[in-house]
Amino acid sequence: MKEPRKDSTVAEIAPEGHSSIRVHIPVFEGPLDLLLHLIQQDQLEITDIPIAKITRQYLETLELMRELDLEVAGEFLVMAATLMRIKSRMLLPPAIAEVEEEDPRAGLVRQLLEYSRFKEAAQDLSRLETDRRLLFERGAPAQLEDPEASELLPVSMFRLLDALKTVLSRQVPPIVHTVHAEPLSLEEAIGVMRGRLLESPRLLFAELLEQFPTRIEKITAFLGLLELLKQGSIVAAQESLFGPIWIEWRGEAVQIPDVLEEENV
Amino acid sequence: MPTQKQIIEALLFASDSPVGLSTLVEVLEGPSPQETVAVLNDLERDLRESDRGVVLVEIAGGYQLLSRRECAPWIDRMLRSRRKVRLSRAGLETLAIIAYKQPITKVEIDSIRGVDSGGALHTLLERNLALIKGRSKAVGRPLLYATSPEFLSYMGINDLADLPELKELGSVMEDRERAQEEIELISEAEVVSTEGAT
Repeated sequence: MKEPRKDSTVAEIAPEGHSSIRVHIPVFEGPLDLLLHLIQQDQLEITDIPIAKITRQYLETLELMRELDLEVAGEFLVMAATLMRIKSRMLLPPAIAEVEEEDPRAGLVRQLLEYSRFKEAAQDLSRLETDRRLLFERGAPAQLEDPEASELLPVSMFRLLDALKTVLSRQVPPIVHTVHAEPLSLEEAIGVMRGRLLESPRLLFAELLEQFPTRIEKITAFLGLLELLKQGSIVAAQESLFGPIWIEWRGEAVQIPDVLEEENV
Repeated sequence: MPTQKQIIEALLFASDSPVGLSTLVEVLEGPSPQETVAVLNDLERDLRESDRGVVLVEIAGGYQLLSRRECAPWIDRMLRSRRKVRLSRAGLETLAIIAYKQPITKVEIDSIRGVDSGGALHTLLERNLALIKGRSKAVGRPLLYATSPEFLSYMGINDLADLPELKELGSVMEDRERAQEEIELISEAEVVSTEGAT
């Protein structure tokens, strides 16, 4: 495809010559999450981390993430530096025996313990959420299906970008990460969304993007969404200023592929 | 003239969110709060014992008619994709920290998670599960976040006190003490070895 925006993103996820590979890779919420995973994987005690070994495994994982072109957030690099600093401090003999020096790992241990507490609490909340979702309150969808009844507000481009950011910040759930040699094209994304909207003409922005599993596909879909907005096939609206964004199907536009071609020139 | 029980059932039916006891008492204009609670309990038992498709639950500090748990698959089928998405792991972690440590600043949340929680926080605010409670007196007067009434409803609990207990600080402290002990052991060993060397 000639679409410049898309080409650059394609290169990011599937470098030339890479065929579709399947890698088992858990998604980490952050450096602490990754560290806990490495510690649990080897059934180690949080309180007594073999720092050299963990540092090596940590760096290897970062390397893998980079190879897969997963976004490695800055926090991961900060933690890598912290680990290396701790490692080097562990190698140094204590300067003066009189001074009670804290274990170089102590700060990290405290952080890991505190984080694991809330990770458990998050699992508790997840169970509550699951349980509560089995009970339905009255009337929620009926209200949503009547566009005239609620005063819908127009959605600005910034709100749409915000919504995209929110969707992207949600980590992808899959256990298996597939790198496609040929990712979703803009036309395909538009096709998928059109199909979905023809089925149910009113969908949440997040729902619509939910079916695109990867970050790059979500971005492609978002560009497709903007295209559909421009054509007037859809409108974006929300019920209140910070309410969720709805996407509504308004009927087929006259020329669909031509608009894309024009932009390529 | 309908009975109190019929009126209460009708009121709860007409509302799509939990109705507080004070609202019911105000609307009924007669029975005391105690009497109203007695009627509510009566209604709850009625619904339960006659095997109805709805149940009366105490939730988020109020009363609400909700569908029976066992009926969930059919409602799901009817509503199809029209349901709100579940919270992501980042969202749940951030929400857990807010729930147990509220009011709390974003910087404090970030420091516990070791990663920026801006996106997750935004989603929680957007979905009304968290809200801005005020400003901290700390430098820069950062915003303080807390859970909303909708949070209780979303989790199906009546009160924050109904949240599962956070892993006992005691056991964490224990871990910490053990960590401290081991740290001391290490430093003693190191002291011995350095002394031996000199």
